[in-house]
Amino acid sequence: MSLGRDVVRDLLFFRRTHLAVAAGCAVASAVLAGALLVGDSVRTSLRQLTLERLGGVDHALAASRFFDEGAAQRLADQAEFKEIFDRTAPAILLRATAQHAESRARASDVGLQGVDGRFFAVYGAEDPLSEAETAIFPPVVLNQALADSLGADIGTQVLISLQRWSEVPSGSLLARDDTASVVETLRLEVASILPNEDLGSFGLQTHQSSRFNAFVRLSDLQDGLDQEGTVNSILVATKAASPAPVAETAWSQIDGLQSSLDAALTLDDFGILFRPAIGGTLMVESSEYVISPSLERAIDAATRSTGASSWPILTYLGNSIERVTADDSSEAVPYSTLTAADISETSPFGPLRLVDGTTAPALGEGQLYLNAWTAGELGYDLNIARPAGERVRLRYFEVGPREDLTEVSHELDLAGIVAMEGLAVDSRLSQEYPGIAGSSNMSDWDPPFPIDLRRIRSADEAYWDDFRGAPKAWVGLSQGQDLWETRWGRLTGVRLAPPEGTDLRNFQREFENALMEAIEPEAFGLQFQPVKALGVEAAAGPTDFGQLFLSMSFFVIVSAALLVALLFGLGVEQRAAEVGLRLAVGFGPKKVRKLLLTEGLILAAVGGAIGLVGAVGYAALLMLGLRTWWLPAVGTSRLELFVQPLSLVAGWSAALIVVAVTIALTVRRVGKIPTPRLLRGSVESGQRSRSGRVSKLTASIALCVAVAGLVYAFASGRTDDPGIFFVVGPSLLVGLLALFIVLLDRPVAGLGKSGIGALPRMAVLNSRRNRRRSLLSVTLIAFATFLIVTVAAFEEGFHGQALGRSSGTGGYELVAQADVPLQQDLASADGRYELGLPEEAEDLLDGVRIVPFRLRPGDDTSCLNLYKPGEPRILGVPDTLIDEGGFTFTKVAEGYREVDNPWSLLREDLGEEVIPMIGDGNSTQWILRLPVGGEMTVENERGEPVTLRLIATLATSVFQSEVLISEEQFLRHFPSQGGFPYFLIDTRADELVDTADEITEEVSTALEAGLARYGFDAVEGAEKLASFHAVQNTYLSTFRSLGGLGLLLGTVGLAVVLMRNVIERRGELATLRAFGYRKRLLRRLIVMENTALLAAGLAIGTIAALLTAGPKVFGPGAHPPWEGIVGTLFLIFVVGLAACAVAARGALGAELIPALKSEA
Amino acid sequence: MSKPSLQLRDIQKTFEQGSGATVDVLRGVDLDLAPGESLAVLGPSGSGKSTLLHIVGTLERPTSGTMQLGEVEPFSLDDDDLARFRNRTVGFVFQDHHLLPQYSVLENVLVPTFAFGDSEAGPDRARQLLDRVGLSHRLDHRPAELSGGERQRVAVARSLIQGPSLLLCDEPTGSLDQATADAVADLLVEMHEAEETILVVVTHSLALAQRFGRRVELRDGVSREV
Repeated sequence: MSLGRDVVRDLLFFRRTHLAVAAGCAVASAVLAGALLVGDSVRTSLRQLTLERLGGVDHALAASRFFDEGAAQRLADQAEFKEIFDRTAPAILLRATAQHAESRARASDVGLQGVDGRFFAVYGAEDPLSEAETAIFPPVVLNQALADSLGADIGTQVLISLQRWSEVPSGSLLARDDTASVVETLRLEVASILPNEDLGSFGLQTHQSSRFNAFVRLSDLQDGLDQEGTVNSILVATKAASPAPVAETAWSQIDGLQSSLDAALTLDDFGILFRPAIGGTLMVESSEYVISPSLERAIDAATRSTGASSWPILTYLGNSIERVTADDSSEAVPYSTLTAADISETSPFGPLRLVDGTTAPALGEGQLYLNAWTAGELGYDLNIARPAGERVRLRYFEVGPREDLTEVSHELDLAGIVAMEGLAVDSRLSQEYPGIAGSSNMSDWDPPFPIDLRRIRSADEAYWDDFRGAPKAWVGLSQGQDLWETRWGRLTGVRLAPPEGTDLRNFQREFENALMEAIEPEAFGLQFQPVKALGVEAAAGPTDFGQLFLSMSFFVIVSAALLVALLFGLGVEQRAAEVGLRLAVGFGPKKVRKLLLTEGLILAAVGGAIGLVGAVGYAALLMLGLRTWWLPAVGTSRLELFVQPLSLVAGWSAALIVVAVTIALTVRRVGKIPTPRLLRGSVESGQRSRSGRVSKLTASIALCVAVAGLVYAFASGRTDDPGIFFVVGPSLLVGLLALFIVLLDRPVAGLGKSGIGALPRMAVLNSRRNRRRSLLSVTLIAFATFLIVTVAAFEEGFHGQALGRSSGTGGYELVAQADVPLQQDLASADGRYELGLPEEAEDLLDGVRIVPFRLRPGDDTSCLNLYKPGEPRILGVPDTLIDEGGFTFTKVAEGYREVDNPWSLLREDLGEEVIPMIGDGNSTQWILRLPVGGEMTVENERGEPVTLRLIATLATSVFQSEVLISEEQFLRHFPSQGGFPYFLIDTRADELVDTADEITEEVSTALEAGLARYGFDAVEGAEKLASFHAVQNTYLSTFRSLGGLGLLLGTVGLAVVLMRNVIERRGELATLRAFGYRKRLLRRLIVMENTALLAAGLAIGTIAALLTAGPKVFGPGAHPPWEGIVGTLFLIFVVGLAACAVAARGALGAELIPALKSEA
Repeated sequence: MSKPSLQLRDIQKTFEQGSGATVDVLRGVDLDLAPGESLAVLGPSGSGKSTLLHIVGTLERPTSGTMQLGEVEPFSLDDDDLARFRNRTVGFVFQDHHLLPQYSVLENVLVPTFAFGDSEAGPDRARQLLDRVGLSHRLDHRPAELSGGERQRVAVARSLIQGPSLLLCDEPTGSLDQATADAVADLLVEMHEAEETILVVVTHSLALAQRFGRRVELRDGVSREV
């Protein structure tokens, strides 16, 4: 008979046993391939969502500044552009707050798109706005999510509030910060409602959740914002739009696009102004009233390349200039311009002359000049050009940490009195200040900062009439920068003198070209991003779901392999005599092994193939779970199952390999058994077992590895490191299982004493009868228990101290965010008054502690974002929080562990280019994949790379969506992010236990109502934490399901072993019956035997799990869900026991007595 | 207290086969055995010897007929009481000794005492019995470490641990060599006499049958004294 026919006959004859083996293979294959399919499906779904969200938009420039709308067309006209790209669309993309005009239902964080036909051409959709007809107000198109949230329908009037854009940096002295100047509200009429899919999902940010979207006509939005002819975004479609753009190709396209953009932009787009100045010179200024460092560098470069001379100037507004006298009685000159510049006797910009006609020398540190008019007003003798020992006090506003204006003063030595001529009366040294420039009288001034018009005297008016903004006082440039440099820049203008012999007009043209050449648009935030490629790349997610499920399925896969080993082993044992006979009649051992192995491989292949059906079902079930039960965690119901044949093949192949190795090992074991023993039906080798020593050695090594891993984890503070988890967990399991074998081999107290108490001892003895089977059963149960208990230990809920200062909320009951950053200090009564909060609100807010944060918008780094974050959201932590501390830190970087308040590490000096950063432990570990001490690079607003070093991590906190740096560092790198859009609010509710919830609710309502136009939204910190916990617990519940599957395999194994044992021991059991053992006693005995194994498996799995999850269970601040753990263990025990009881009843159902008969 | 006598009247046993047909294995067996009597049951294969032994041992209920041991009619007892009756009154020795491999020799002998937890017999009696069967030096050995004859001697000791009235043996020497079989037979006779049990031995071996006081042959379902 050929091997093939032999195999087929064997397979058919032993079909029942083989069916069980094939089922085990099917489980392994289903779990492996299923995990891969889940990964594929999540990845593909996210990619689909990205492609759908962006439509034909491949690249986008989304700036924080407005620029000429025509730049988009000029870009499209570039020859280089036309080679690769198809078209452009200028747009205004902003975040806004929407409100139903009647019901006042409000939705914040709305994506507002000001677009026209060009946008829809790029996106690839019908233009719903072009034909829109509305009664009175301009049309707006909402997506369904927003319409539902507002309760809006077609024809509904909605109010859209958004931040007005100003060239003046918000928060600066010259920025207007009243609500009317900061927030613009547009009344619009809903023209149509889009589905949430496709166009309705448009947005440049990667996030899977349905966002609120509104589309308005570009021209309407430009009108509403007083930004006629300007936009803040350009969207670009490539000619051959790829469904799966490759990042590398996309970035190379960006290089080309960016160089085309350079040619398309003009100096106007950067807010650069030129004004002719006295003496044939030119003044370069910025519409932002301050020269940014990037522009300063570009001007320097252009100056060098044109051979021009430059004279940097810093002009500031002073509140008063006072003569310092002993009795402080001198009059003050109010509201003056103060100029800081390096005065040189040989300057081409004209020397300053003192009242005695001499050239004013350069000013030293601590010195100033007054012009003659001011000196006269202050009572100085104008005949003395250089008065000795005279001091002058300057008073001026300084922008405080809360964007508040504080008047400060500084005294300087009066070095001389400047004659009112030449440069001294050049009013163009100061700028066209808002609210000041066009005024014919000083009393008409309406500047953005507070001014007391009563202080203005007729003399001041006369000066204004004669000299306008000509500086009344002069200091050296470095002195001035010491006093008046702001985070936005240290110059207000640069005066340029052309090289000798160059016409000023030609020079200006030449200089403008040189400046355009030197300017890097990226430094002004004008940077294209390959949004589609980045979105597709981000769709891979911070965590590969496939790998995640595979790693968490590891124990289930091993369990399935063990089950296969067990079942196949039992099958071989059943056929021991047959194997012996084959060997006896001359089959070579190799041939017999080949026969068994071939059978095994066929079973594995067929079972694995059947398992693929299960894999699809398993993955479909998990995807269904993600869309429904776990929706709060993933935030989208649009994750679909995608079956990739490659994953099926990979899963099947991997399962085949695992099972084949398992079967080969089993067959190899049989091959070592002497033929006579096999002929007697025994599969024991008969050789003295060395397993005792091997087990002891294995236990020692594995437990040493586990202990070393735990000690290292605690010592290095890496207790949350998954790598350590995967070393310690399996080591503990292996070690404890080896220890179990050692204990199994140890003699136990005999049965020498009669009594019913002997039954458990009989059970223990019986469970040692077949060590291999017992070990496999215990291993299966231990693995399932390990997985389930570990998951339970990691599960987090809310505890009594959830709102304490050391909790994840830091003791702040509310976390709030505003769509439009608040320019006033919400924490102070004055600030709240300026924000227009009503008196009743003030009564409620008195005593409430509010900590405002600055925010650089970016990608959500929390587990709520399934996409891989690119540039993260960054919060600037104010000094108040740094000083007060709070929250709990899980890890602190090496070298700083002794620090009492790890928040203070945010102030640590790590060098010029490295910024200390704190992050939520969960986000940094799982989403950003950053270890403590690790570094990540972000771009500051000048387009420069900045290194953030993770210096400490927080225990599960409200800060999971962002990373934290100090406010000081924040302002250095993101100076234009003015105002405060993020707040922690301590309502002090904890001091009013009885009314805590009401107080928190009232504060929340008062703030949301009072700041509705800012899109102010407050949520309870506990609620925010709960949403993060929901995600973690979602994953954990998925893994618990896998644990359940493992448990199922374990109980199947246990039941199979039980039934097999009963079949093999029928004679023995019949003998016991003969000696008066009742059936139920036998059942009890058998269940007890397996209960011992079940208990051992439970104990081993639990001990290993609790030690592995040690810090979560026993660490500081740990709140292990003991009830859940104990409940789970109890459940496993009951399930196992029930399975044993059912199996025992089934196995003992048949009559035993015939087994005793020597004949019928 | 004197031991009871055994009385079987018109014992019949019919088995149903899978096809629905019936086989009459015993067609009315009558037996009377006094305490201390020994009986060999002979007969060809399939004649119902083991079935008769199992009925006597209350492992199977007869289709009809009665059995009485002293004043007790065991088949009128419910299953629990019948199990207790068997535990206290009947001792078995099987062709395959059916020792529990995971237990020591001493523990194997004690196994019947664990069934109800109130047995008077304990380790002392087990040691005594093992001493009498010549295995006092093997108390802690496992069955796998014993020879075939030794295992059967352990089975004999086990069968007597509860001091039974009936000692039933099903081919007790069937798988032993002649010398060992003789030794086991000697032991059975000796122990039966010492314990004053009724001994019933099912065997094919005429030589073994000759060692016992009475012999019956089963043929066509009925017994005949030979």
